[in-house]
Amino acid sequence: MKGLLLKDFYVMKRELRAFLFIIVVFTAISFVGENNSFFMFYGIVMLPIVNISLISYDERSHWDSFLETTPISRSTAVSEKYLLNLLLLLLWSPVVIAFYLIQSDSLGSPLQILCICVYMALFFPAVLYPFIFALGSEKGRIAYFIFIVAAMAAIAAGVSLMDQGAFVIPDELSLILLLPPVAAYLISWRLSIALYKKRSL
Amino acid sequence: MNNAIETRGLTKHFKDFTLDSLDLELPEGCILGLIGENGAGKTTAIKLLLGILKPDSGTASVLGQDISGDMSRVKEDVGVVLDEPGLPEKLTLRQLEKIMPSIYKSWSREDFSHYIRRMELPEDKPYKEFSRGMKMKLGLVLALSHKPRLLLLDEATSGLDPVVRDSVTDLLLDFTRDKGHSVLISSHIVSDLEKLCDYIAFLHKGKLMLLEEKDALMEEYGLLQCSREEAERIEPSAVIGRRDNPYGCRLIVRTDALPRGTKTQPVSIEELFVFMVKEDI
Repeated sequence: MKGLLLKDFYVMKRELRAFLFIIVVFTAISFVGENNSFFMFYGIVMLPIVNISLISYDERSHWDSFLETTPISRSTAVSEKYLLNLLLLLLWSPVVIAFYLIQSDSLGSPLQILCICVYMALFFPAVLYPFIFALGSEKGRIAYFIFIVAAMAAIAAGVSLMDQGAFVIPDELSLILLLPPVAAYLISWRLSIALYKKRSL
Repeated sequence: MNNAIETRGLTKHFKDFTLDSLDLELPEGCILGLIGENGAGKTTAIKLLLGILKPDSGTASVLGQDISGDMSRVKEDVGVVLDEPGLPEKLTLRQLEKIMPSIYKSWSREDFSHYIRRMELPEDKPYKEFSRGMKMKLGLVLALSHKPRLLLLDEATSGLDPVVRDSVTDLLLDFTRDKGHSVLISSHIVSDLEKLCDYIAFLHKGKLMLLEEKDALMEEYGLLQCSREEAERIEPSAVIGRRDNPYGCRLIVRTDALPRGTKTQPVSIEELFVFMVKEDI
């Protein structure tokens, strides 16, 4: 697992600089002016796509076939990508916290924001990743485009509701509401393992 | 002697191809050359042995491990080179050196450095800038650096220049000096295998045509040049293949089925394979 993570960090450093730069720029915009929460959430939603690019890169370089010849199981290969997604989000969290501290007046309570962030961070990859592991990044591209459209629509709708003050989650409900995306992520992880094991490489 | 690889009736069906009832044996300490034209089923056989593909019927074991079970432990002892090594293009050898110990428990930094020096591979150049020969050499270095007992090489010498092929051959011969080390190497370049192998297997259109010890094969078969009239008098069961030319015939024959005193010339593995395959068409 450690070797796979290390390899992905090396590849990200070299291959995905432009992609990561765009996320950073969009997030930087969110710190300028008021009510720019769209850009804050942009990073959270886009980070899982870094993983898709890495899977696509693995397929292009036949790294997935190489792993088949090693003691690394398909379960480990899938688990690493799910863990990497969480690690990227964890690395990103200081940015979100900083944004929240700066713009807390125009946003909800910390628990409410946490709830929205967890939904965005986990629910979309939970839906998307099984398609990618079952079909490969090429064939899973349709799911990818649907995901992009749905993600953008969801961010825009969420931000709009927040701005109107209509999107108010009682604090006592926020923690309970965290359970569905977490459960979806765990189910998605197990499902992706099962689907990837059946896939012919 | 134990077998490093053993398959019995190993079968895999695809839409347009079937690997049909493959029976292979590779004794420990030996090199088996799997010869076949492109699409003969060599890669399918290797993927089945690694558990990458699941057979439709038949059984197989690799270093005593049944391929229907968990292959992850036995893969620690198996070094594999596929026709495309499958490494990320931007990685350098220094980065690979840090990644690989987490993939193989038995990874040896000393062996890796030793083979890198021996193969004269650049440590800081990205893999993308490697030539085809350098890529295959690196594939072999990775396969050898975790102290494997068995090497599975799929078309590992194809597309390489003679100098690189020669250094790969030397490396494999060194590897098999240890009696516990075995190699299965598939190729359609027969001359490479002729130099290396103890056993030869012919695979054609998914069927195993022959599996024999190389030396026995050279004794068992011979090349006979004769007139057409002489060829007609030879027992048909002795003739493996026949080519007519303006001066007579060239026959590949089973020497033990010929009349005593009939003189034959040694036959190369390549000639034997081509004759047998053409007869089958």
